[in-house]
Amino acid sequence: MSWDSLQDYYIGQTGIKPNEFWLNTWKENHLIGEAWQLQQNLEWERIRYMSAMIYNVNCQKKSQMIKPDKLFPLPQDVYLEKGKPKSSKEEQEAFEKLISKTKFTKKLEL
Amino acid sequence: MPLILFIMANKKRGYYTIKMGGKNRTMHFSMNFWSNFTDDLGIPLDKLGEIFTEGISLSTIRSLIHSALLANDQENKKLIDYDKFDVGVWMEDLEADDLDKIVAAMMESRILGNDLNAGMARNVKQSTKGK
Repeated sequence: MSWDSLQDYYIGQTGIKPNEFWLNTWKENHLIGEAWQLQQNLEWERIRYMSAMIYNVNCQKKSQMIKPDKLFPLPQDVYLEKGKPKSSKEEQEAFEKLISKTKFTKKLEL
Repeated sequence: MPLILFIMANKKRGYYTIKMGGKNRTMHFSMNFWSNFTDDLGIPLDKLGEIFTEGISLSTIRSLIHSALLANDQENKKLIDYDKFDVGVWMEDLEADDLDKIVAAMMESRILGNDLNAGMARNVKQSTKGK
């Protein structure tokens, strides 16, 4: 990281005015850069959503339809938490304990 | 004028005012400060973290205060009637508490060791790639 690369990113890419760049604190410049990047990510999210909708209306069967995140990956996909267990072992045991106290008219099969 | 005083007192914006050398002097921990600081210490930007993690020497503190005073005075086109040796003399009158407050103002304004990562949450371990 050099002063040139910092200026390339903040002034050249993010669009902070040179005078503001030098007067801002490091944190302020960082936050402006982050805001710019978030806007870019959200714009791509909208494009991906619209593209997925266009794709889906042209499908013959429902099984051919896709969700936007299947079209192409974006950095914010980590928040979708795909592949992460829906509950922990402790939560499952607590749920089973709760269910065991309940009287059902029919036998419950877990 | 009240607005200026408000900004000067705002350590989150990197301003800190203290009486040194017979008058109130304001430090600004802006990018101009970081530029002055790295020039004064003769280090590249990516070595800045090491300065703070490997223990701060007195000359580093002197350079830090001098660079911050210089940044504010340069930004406000004020006459610079001191050098880092004057700052060293003024530092003798500073209390430990004052130094803490100066460092706090700097810490509020800096992000060191916190990489830009496209605006996403940091240290995400789980990847959805290929799933």
